[in-house]
Amino acid sequence: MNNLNSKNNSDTEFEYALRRMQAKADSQIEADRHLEKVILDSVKNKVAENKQTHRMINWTSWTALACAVFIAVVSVKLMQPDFTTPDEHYIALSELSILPESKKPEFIVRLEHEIAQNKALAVSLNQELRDELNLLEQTYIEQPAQPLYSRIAQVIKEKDNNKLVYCQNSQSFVYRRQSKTYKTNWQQITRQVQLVQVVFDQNGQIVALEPIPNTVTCPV
Amino acid sequence: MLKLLKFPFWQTADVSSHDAMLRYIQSEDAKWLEALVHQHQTALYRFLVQQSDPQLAADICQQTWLKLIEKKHLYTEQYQFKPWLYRIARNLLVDEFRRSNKLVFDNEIELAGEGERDVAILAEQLDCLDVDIYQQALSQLKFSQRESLILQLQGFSLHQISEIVAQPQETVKSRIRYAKQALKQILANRLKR
Repeated sequence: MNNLNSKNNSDTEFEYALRRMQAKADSQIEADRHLEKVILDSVKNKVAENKQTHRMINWTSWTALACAVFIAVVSVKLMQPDFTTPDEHYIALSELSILPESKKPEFIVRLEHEIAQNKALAVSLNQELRDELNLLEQTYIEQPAQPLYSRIAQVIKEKDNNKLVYCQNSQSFVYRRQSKTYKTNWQQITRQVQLVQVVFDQNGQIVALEPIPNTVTCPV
Repeated sequence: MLKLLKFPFWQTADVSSHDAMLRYIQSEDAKWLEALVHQHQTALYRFLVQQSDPQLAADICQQTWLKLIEKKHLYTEQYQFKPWLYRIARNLLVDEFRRSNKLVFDNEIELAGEGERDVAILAEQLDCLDVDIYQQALSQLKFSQRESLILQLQGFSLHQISEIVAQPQETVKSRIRYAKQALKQILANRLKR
């Protein structure tokens, strides 16, 4: 037991002596003031350099962002028909705006769902539709209180007939209706492959077709 | 006096190293780094000199502070500044040793068999010893033992040393024990002459 105690004491003393010796050894290693100055200079330079780089990065990232926004705007303008500033010529009925989700009538919700599922039937541009529209065009125009809705569709030419196929990546619109006379221009619609607004009344009945000039493909 | 005028001691002197580092990260103001260099550079240099030579130690010191700037984003609230700084320096030194094939990592199994013969050396004998002899004895220790021992003698805790050398505390403890035994052995042999 005594031996153990004396060993512990000598270990502790050795430990302290070692620390004293290490402190002595440390103090003999002279602090290199020149090195410290060199380090301070290089540290200052590095910090300044970093700040400069950050500024450059900020500047270049803002420029890149501005370019990206510009390209995006130009691309959208080129690829999609301009719905926000409608041309009076083809929006003959009235102004239209995107139909908000909360105000969508049931038939639009159903139609959108079917379009999304590729189950929406193509509308045949046949004589029957022409006759129906001729009757309805006068009717709905005379009821200005009723809202009108629309979806964009593409006119697809077939051998003997043309049909309308609803575009998938387009919105549904609502017309701010005015009392204006409107008649579907069948000649214009069937003349070439193009996009048209398929106009519905509140019950989902097609009441008019409005060509969208200079557009042939659905929005991507 | 000149030193006090040169450096904004009234802003940095009463701030801990940890806080100074956090403030540097936040503000990127070099004055906080300058304060840290003043506070830690000498001890860091002494630690590195004892592991290598003055030229390499100076080089590693410089690299360490630049690396610290580069890696500042990795420093978080949970760290302690001094062990973090030493860990960077130690890694750079090890990399340098590896590049120049100077480093032979100790085999822990080999270590386990070592130092079983404990040699008695009196504290008084150690006190009377020439520092150069002590330095020579230290330089004969294996790298991993020497670094752990010096770190402990410089005041780092086991936990901090374990962070610096990236080894479990138990390993560090063993290394220090074997380092002391080996040191005793070397010094005892020296004293016998």
